Amino acid sequence: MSKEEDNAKNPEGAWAAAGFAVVLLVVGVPVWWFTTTVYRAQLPYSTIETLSSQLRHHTVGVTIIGSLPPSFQEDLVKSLGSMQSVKFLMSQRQPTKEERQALHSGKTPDELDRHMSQLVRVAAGMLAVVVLPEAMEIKEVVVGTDRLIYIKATADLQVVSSVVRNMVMDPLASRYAFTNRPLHHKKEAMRQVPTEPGYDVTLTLMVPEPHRTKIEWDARAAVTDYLSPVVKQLENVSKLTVRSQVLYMTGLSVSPQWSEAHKHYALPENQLPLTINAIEAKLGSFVWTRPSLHFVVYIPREKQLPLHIHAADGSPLPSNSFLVPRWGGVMIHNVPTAAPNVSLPRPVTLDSHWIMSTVLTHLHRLLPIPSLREIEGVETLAMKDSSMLTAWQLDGLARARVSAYLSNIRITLQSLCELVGEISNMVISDEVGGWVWGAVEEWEECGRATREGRLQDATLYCTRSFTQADAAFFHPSMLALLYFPDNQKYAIYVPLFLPVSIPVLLSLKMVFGLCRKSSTKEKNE
Amino acid sequence: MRLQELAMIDGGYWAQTGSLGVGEATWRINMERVATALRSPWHTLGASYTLESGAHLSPPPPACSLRITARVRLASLVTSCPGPLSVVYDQGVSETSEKTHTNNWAVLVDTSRFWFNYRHVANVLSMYRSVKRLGIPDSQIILMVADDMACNPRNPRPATVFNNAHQHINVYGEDVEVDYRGYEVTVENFVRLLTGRLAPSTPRSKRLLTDDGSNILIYMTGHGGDGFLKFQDSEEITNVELADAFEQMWQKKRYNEILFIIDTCQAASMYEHFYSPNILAIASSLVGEDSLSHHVDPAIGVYIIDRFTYYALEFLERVTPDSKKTLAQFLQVCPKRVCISTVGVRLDLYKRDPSRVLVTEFFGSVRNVELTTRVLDLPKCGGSRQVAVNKSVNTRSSKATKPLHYASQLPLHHS
Repeated sequence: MSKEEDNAKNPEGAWAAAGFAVVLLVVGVPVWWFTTTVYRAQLPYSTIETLSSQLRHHTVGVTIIGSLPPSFQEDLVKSLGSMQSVKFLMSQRQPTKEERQALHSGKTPDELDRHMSQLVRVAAGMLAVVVLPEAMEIKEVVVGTDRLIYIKATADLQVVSSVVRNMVMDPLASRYAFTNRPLHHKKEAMRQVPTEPGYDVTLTLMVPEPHRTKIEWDARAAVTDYLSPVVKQLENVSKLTVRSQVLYMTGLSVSPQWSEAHKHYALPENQLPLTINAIEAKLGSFVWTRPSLHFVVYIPREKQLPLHIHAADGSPLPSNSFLVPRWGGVMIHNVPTAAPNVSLPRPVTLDSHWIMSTVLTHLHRLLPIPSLREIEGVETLAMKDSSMLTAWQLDGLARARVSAYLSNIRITLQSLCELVGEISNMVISDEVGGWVWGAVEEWEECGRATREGRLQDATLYCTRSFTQADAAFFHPSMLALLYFPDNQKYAIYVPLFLPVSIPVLLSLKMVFGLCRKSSTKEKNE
Repeated sequence: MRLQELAMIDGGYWAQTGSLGVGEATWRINMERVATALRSPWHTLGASYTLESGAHLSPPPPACSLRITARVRLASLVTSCPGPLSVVYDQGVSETSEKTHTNNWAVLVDTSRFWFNYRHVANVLSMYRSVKRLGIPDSQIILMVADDMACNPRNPRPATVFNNAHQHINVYGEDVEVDYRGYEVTVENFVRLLTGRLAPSTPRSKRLLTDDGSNILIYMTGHGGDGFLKFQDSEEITNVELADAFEQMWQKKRYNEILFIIDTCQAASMYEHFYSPNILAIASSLVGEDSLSHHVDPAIGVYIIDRFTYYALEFLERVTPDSKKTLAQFLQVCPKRVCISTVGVRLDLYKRDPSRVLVTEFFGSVRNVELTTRVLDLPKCGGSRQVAVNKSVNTRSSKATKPLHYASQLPLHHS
């Protein structure tokens, strides 16, 4: 009782306690808050979520020039409509007078194609199907060099439908666009290089015995003639940097058997998987961080000439080369054996055409460039004077890459948002914020361009978005290890604030007691 | 043993709710292997099951093998058998038994320093030698070692590190490529390496440039405790951080499969918190047990190698690049009577059957090659250049006959 009376007599204690509490709450907590919040740039979480849940599809416009039986057209529309990631916009028109003349005057498929490509202008990303008059003497389905497909009205619907689907997008790429995880159990999926904005292509000539053979090969001319046109064509889709080198005194450690039947050294298929391990260290792949593709031309040793790869059934492989998925390709170039009394080293010239054809074959399978080789009954025309790709091949590649990019960007940004959300005190610098905003904007643009069928714009936006999203994700400050998790916050701040707050809270009791006393006193009075 | 404790060995699911849903396949469960995996002694079980309509279940024949086919929904699997039940469980010839990776990487980490931890350096360098011998190139091996053994003033054989008292092989060698040495072996660098969040100026040899087709072998050795691994005597990495790093790798598709081997005390605690798929973890000891070292070299004066790594190396020495030895054999490499500690294995995150996975899929580098059957038919280009080529080749060859001389070593400035 006396204590309460004492308290009632000196309210200063209560005022002091109240003062402490006020200072603690009004000044202390805000100061602590402002000095310990980390800088987190604002990220567009909701936009990322909305864009992630949007289904994406490519739009391809297909114009049918000529007249097809209506049932054929309907069936074609129906079977093309079942393709999930691509929506086809079919339209039809009659051929103009010049086109009709060209159709009737063309004798060979090449001539016809040349005339028609000049007359019919098909925009990038679209296709046109030209119906040929019955009298023409060519195969049922012919694919031209510039986005034109020539069919006869009697063509097989399945063939036409699969031709269009394969031209538009690689079937694996279209499945990939819909799954999060890559298709592991498909050999073809594991063959393609991962989709990146740039690759390094290295041509390596391996000469294990330079004291016996002096190889003369003008690599620069070969690359300029065969590879540079393709590289230039692919510039917007994927940047390829081409280098070449010669490796002396390095050989493949293989043990071929002399085959009496074929009169050459046979290298069985089962020895191939381990061949490149020994030379990988010497190829210089450790210099750059872009993914690299290696194409190796191997000149066999003198005592193993001529060397041919044998397939599993024992027959020699005519191309004498093999592809290593995601890595590159190796080809064996046999040189004629030395005559007995010739002076060493003897000069040998290499066949550039064969080498570059093999290199380009491998490149086509690695990138991958869509091809219609598996479909029967189709004749595909290639470019006549150069090794360049046809326009539809370029479109198909671009479409596959855009799908892969869109899927990658979604995964990267979603993962980034999750990481940032989990660790609430992770610093998000302006740099990272800028990249994420940029990536999201370009992603949106790319999605819109894809839906509207503007393929070149889509490729450009997607590449930029992918680069920015990756830069933000792999930024060194995004490491979760650097920031302590939430539950450790208590361990840090409780020992600081508890010793101060306990006396204040206890003395607040005194304040409340005083308030109640004064209110009861008033009530009593 | 009730169904919810069955480990997933090949396809199938964790039976967490008490029922095992299986796909269309033939499943035979190797209970012995399951028992080893779960570290519980195997006794007799009782059996009771319910079938969905249309399913067939062959009754357990006298030899006690249970064979489950097609859509079976088991309420509980408790079988009673007089002798050891061999119920083999495999998914027939599934496509998961095929190789699914395109390249191989190895991350070998030794987390301790100082002379008395010689054996950890010998452990990791021996693994490095095996992995290199089996084909993985240096550009795809990340070696993190404090590297203070070979040139240590206490080393009676300077510039060498041995892993055996007979001192047959110098595992340090002349071509070892250490990527992170000395004080660079830190937890932060390790996690940055795994997640890829390195400073832009990091050279390529210090980056883990894996993609979604890479199989990664991660080997860690040092001193560990319950839930952590000590790095260089000054910091530690916890199992939660390691699990999060792997999850970040999985989300960005930076690996196909990981084989995680850890040779420390209480090593099994490090893989407890893993939750990303396709990881097979092997630990040299369980929680509460110590991993012991193998033998001391009286000439050097310290323990030379740890038991688990010693027996693992014995196994790996018999593996050639084209060998057909499987991971299941590798898992049996250190039984309790020689290792003294119990080897712990975590198989539930790994979808494939270890008896179908070759050791070289992680330790070696066997590529899938495809023979090129058809070459593109390209037109001959650069016809006008042929003459020019011959000319330029001739001029070049004449230039090449000029005598060669050494460049001056020190640039001399003529005044």
